Amino acid sequence: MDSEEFKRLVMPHYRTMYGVAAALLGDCDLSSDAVQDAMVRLWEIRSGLRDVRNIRGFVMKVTRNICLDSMRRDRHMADISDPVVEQEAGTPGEDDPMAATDTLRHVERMMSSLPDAQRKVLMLRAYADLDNDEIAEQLGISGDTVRQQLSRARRKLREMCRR
Amino acid sequence: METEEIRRLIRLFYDGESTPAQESQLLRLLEEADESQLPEDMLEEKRILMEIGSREVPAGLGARLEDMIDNLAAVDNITGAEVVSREAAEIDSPQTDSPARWRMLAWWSASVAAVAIFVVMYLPLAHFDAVSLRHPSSSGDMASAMVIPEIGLMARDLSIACAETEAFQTPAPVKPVQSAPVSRKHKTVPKKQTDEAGRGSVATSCELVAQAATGNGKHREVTDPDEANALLDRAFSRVYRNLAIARTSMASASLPVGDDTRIIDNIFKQEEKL
Repeated sequence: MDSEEFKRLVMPHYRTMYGVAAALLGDCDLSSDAVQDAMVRLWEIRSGLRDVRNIRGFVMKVTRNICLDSMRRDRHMADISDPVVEQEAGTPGEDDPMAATDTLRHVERMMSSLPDAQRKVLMLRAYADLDNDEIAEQLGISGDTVRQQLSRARRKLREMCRR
Repeated sequence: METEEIRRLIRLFYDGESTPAQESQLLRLLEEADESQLPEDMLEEKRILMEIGSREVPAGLGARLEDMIDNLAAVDNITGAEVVSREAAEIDSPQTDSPARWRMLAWWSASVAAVAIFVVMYLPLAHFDAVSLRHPSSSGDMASAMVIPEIGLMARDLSIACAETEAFQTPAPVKPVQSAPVSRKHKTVPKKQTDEAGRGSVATSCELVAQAATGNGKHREVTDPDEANALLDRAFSRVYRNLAIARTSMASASLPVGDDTRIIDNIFKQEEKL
């Protein structure tokens, strides 16, 4: 399988991969690194991708495993929501060329303050575009639980944004 | 109407019952709606939803991923070519390319070469030693080259023994007399003799000891100078005659000169018998 065929097969799902990584890792940079690592892993096994019926589900699974390995490996790393780090990051401004990224980081910082279960559901819906049933399958919970967690997370974010 | 649709979608959104397609539609309607036409509360919802409902991934992530895939493909092409060439070389090359096999091959080659050289060098010598005196017809020039120095040495010994200043001349044929082996045990002073043709014979100033072999194996001491000279003449005549024969044989390369050693030995034996 050449690079062009690989791109046609996998690249349409990179946003989903990022959503899965963001849901598990909660950090923009770590999620980007995890997506790249997942792409490398998929490239190494590209010869078997033609036989996969659900490419989207497969790449999500690979990304999830990459993230879990990263979490186990970096278990003793410093907390990414360190107040010192957030203070040094500064406040995003309109003239800042990285404003979009900073806004995203701001949203991620808000999401990181959510309970873990709510954050995961929110990330998977926001970036991976998974419906309630798919999120339930990924997280191993029921569809009603997904709906409740999603509702609570969005209402909490709305309250944070109104402050 | 559009406002009602927006409110419905907002309600589903916060209840967690909206689908991804409905959420995308909500964001699209909020972006396209004229803000002058939207109520105050809906403007606030629009700001919040645009922030938390954003599905934007980090800028440039897609492009970075595509570049990374291209780099991986380029590296694999180079690595794969090297692997293929290395595998092809391993397939084409014989199994003896390994260092251990080359060392073993070199050792065996050296051993075979050494054995071959030994055989080539030893066989002619062994062949000569085996047949030089027993099978005259099979000896060659090498035997002749080895025996002629022996004859020369014998002649030299005789000349030394004679302490002769005159060169040896081919003696004239003499009557057969009882031959005797020549030794240096006793000294005699043979007289200078000439043959019928007046040619000089063997020098007489040398001291020779002649012993005549008796029939019972014992040696008889020859005290008669004439008899001694006769015996010597006879011996030398035989030697020269056989030398001539040997030279003729060498010329034809059919008769080994090595036989002269046996012949010379026989000369003395025959002289003894006589």
